[in-house]
Amino acid sequence: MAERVRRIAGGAEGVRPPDAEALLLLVARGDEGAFERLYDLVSGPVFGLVRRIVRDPAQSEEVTQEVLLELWRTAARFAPDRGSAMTWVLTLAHRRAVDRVRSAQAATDREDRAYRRDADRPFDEVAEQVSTRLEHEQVRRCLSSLTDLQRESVELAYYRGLTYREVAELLDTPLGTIKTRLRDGLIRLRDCLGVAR
Amino acid sequence: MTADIHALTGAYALDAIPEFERAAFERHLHECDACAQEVRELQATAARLGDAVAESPPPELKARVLARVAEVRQLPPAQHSSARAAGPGSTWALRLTGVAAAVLLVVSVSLGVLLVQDRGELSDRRQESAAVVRLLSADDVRFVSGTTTSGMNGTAVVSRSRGQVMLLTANMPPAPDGKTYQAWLMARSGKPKSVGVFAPDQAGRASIMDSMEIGDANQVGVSVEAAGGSDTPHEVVMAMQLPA
Repeated sequence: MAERVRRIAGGAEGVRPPDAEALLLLVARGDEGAFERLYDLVSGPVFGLVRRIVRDPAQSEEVTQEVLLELWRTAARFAPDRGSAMTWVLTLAHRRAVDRVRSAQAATDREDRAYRRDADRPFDEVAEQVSTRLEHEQVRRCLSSLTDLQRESVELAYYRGLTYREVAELLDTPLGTIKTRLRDGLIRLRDCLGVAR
Repeated sequence: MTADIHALTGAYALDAIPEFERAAFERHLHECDACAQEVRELQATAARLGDAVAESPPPELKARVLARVAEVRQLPPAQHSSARAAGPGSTWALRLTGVAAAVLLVVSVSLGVLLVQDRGELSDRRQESAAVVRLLSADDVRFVSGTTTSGMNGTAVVSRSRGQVMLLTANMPPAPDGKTYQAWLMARSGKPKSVGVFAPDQAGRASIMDSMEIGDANQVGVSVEAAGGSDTPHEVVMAMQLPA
């Protein structure tokens, strides 16, 4: 299992040089040069993900800047035994992007409780864009191995920043079903991508 | 660990858990190594989805970020690295109420409630006390507790065999003027069922058990409603998954 994982993780990409962890350790010691190299390594994935969720370009830049400064600030809290540096970075980026859209949404909701039914973007349009713009063939192939409901649920939650409750309402599916589809969809992706942790 | 709360690992890894449920789930993660491991794997999986949509930021952003770095102080390493598993921003280290602490809270809050009610009918007190004892001594009694991001504590004591649940809260601020707290039981389907309105005492504590018939409920929650209560929850401030 470990062999297979290493091969897949190291082989297919090239996008992710193996030294993000090493750079983070240097950044934790205050090395600004290392931070600049880390910026070059992670700013693309961070900005791409934030932009996918937040959409507005100016706000996406703001959130990206917040995330990168947070990396600088908290680099010493990175624990390599808990997962890769890129996972750590993108987990933070996703959470900050989601925080941004949810706080904006909360303000809107107070005026319009029915916002979900008036959603400005139908979900299949979003899913379509996601599918066509994916850079990584492997991720696209694995996404396409999910059931329709698994894939739609995972994409709406991850790329649009919806809660599972919102996904359930949008797809007119019971909450428990959506919870389960998010989990078993991700587990299938994990196995397809050969993610070890 | 119950199958129901375990199913939230996927939603959690995707940040798809509403804020009011996140604290309870993170507390559960803290006690469940298997869940924490699964969350790490699923977060790594989700990160691959993020990596796949990389897009170059505008070039001028780099200079802005590098300039700001000179003004931002770095944090020292965490004291308890084992308490962090979800990446930056996680505050698990602050949430370490175990079952033992939940029991203490239950007992102390229950006693507090029983003691402050001494102006009521003696028989009422005895009935309530007996009901609490019956619930706490049930063979299948289970506790779940959590802390919301704003610091409110909630503990639910559940016995499926007795068909009862007791909700205890602590650190609850008074409801805003003209508003009240209302407790709810929620099942997988159907509308949330109101348990009643309540006001925490001066120490922010409350306990609700009267008529908390659990039925097929899998969540207990508290919302803020207009005085008098509502027939459907509006502003949910706390929600916890109940053990199966």
